[in-house]
Amino acid sequence: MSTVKMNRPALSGKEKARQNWLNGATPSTLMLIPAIFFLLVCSVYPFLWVFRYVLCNYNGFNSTFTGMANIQRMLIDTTFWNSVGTTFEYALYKLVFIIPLALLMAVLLNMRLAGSSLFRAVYFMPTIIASSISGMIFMFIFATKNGILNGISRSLGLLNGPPTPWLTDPSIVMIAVTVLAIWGGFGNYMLYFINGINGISEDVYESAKIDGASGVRTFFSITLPMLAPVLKVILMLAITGAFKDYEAIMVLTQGGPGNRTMVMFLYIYNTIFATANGGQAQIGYGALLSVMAAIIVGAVTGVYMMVSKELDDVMYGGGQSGKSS
Amino acid sequence: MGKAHEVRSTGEKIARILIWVLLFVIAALTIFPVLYVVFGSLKENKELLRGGAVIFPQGRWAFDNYAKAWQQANFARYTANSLFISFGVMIISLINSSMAGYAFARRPTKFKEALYLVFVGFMFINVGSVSLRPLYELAVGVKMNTSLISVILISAGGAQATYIFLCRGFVASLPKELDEAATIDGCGFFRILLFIIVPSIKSAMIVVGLLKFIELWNDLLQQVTYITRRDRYTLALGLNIFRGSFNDDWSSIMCATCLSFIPGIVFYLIGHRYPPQGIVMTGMKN
Repeated sequence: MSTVKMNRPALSGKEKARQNWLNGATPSTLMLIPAIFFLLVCSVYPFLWVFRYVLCNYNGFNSTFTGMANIQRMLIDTTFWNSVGTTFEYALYKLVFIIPLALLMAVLLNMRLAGSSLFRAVYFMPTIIASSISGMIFMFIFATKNGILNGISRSLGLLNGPPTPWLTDPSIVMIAVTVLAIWGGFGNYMLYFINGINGISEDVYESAKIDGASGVRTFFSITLPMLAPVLKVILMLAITGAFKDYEAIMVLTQGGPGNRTMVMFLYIYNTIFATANGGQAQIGYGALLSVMAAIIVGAVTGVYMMVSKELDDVMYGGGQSGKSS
Repeated sequence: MGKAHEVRSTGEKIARILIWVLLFVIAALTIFPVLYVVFGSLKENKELLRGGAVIFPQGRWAFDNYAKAWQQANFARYTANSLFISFGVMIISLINSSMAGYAFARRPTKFKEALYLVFVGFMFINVGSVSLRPLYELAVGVKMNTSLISVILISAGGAQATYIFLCRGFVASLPKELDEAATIDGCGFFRILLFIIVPSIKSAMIVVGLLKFIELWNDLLQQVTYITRRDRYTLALGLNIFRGSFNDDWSSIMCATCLSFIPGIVFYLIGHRYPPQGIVMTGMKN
């Protein structure tokens, strides 16, 4: 401690360590240790593990290398490709209803009518309910024999014949799944939109009002264009989110009837854990499907980013792309 | 905001009433399933099995359903396990994300920049449920598969990147002079984090804590995979198994469902004052 440290070209190892400790270089690296540990164990290791079994037949106990067999099987696995189709269908239904509804509710709540904050709390409520629980609640609602919806339609006189088999008729089951997705999700996106709208300066609205713009006109000329950057982020979250939804569907329909509501990630889950069909786990094959699914989601995200950039260029002439609110 | 003094035309008044009616109808549709479950938990089981559209119990209001679910169906144990896991993950995530967020925001080095890119990369790579399997096998391998600690560690590590970025964004928005002043006063790096940084990014800490808690409380997939012993079941898991095995005891199911709502409601009451734009913009604080 008493030695003179100044003007020395090279510090001894111990001195250097001490200095690094004092100026924060060592502690700030030490602070990353838990994060690095978690990264290695929970992200890197599973990722590498998946590739280890992609070309294997692995049932959880012993694995054998099978070469291209898994890939061949995937290419002709109609259940898988149908589930990919169902995932796109589900994502489309969900986005088509949920985004306009969330935006409309955000704009209307922003008018601050009486009870707005209560309405906001109610719309947000389903978001904080576990998706497995909401799947179960909607099972009560859509049940055929003693379901709530059939009971309501009967007491309103809409249903006179036999009860509607909401969850077991392949031609209408997607309605049930979509209703659940809208109910469980729109409050979340509404909140994002409200935050986006709050970011728009009050002055703009004031001057629009002075110019005599109507509410609808204000929405299309001010709110919507100024929300564009936020809308882009929200759409991105909504698209990737819709592709990854499966917990609620797992509880509501288990992918049935006849795989009609089997989405990609639910099929993969069933392949790996073999819970639904009581069969053997096919982890190697499931790993390959997971890689394929990751590629599909990545491709969709990539296409979306390209399209939204194109749209930016059209709208702003490329000058303001990447500008955030 | 201060619109009360405006003079409105009759047309505008009618429009506002219509909009209010629309808001009300959608709110009623949204809350109906929740109310049905809440009041359903007070119906007698045979009334529940009949189903139908009536919200309120027609016969007796069976408050003893809760005592039954709590004791006989063992939901007391499941709730305790859920609380243990949720609090455990919350605490670990708070420590981890504040430390890593601080370390990433201050004293940049080549190593940290590279590491940061790895974090970003793994945030976008998503192989879905398949990653549950190796972690399960790992837990079995280190003989931790019967302990809830393994669930806590895996859940805390699984989605850490988002929360680290959130904290990093908040720390980066604090002036560096704050740290420097503390250093001059003799504070070390760890003390600065604990006494200067964490109190300054309180809102980020609350957001991280609440989101993590609710994420674990509501999670089913990981718990289905990792928890095999019956006395370690959580509320969500117990409910799922219970629904499969005793299909006709709907009143207990409804009671447990209502129990599972409680943390979510608390979360909203505390959390709705902390806007989520920080999460959308990955921690851009204005």
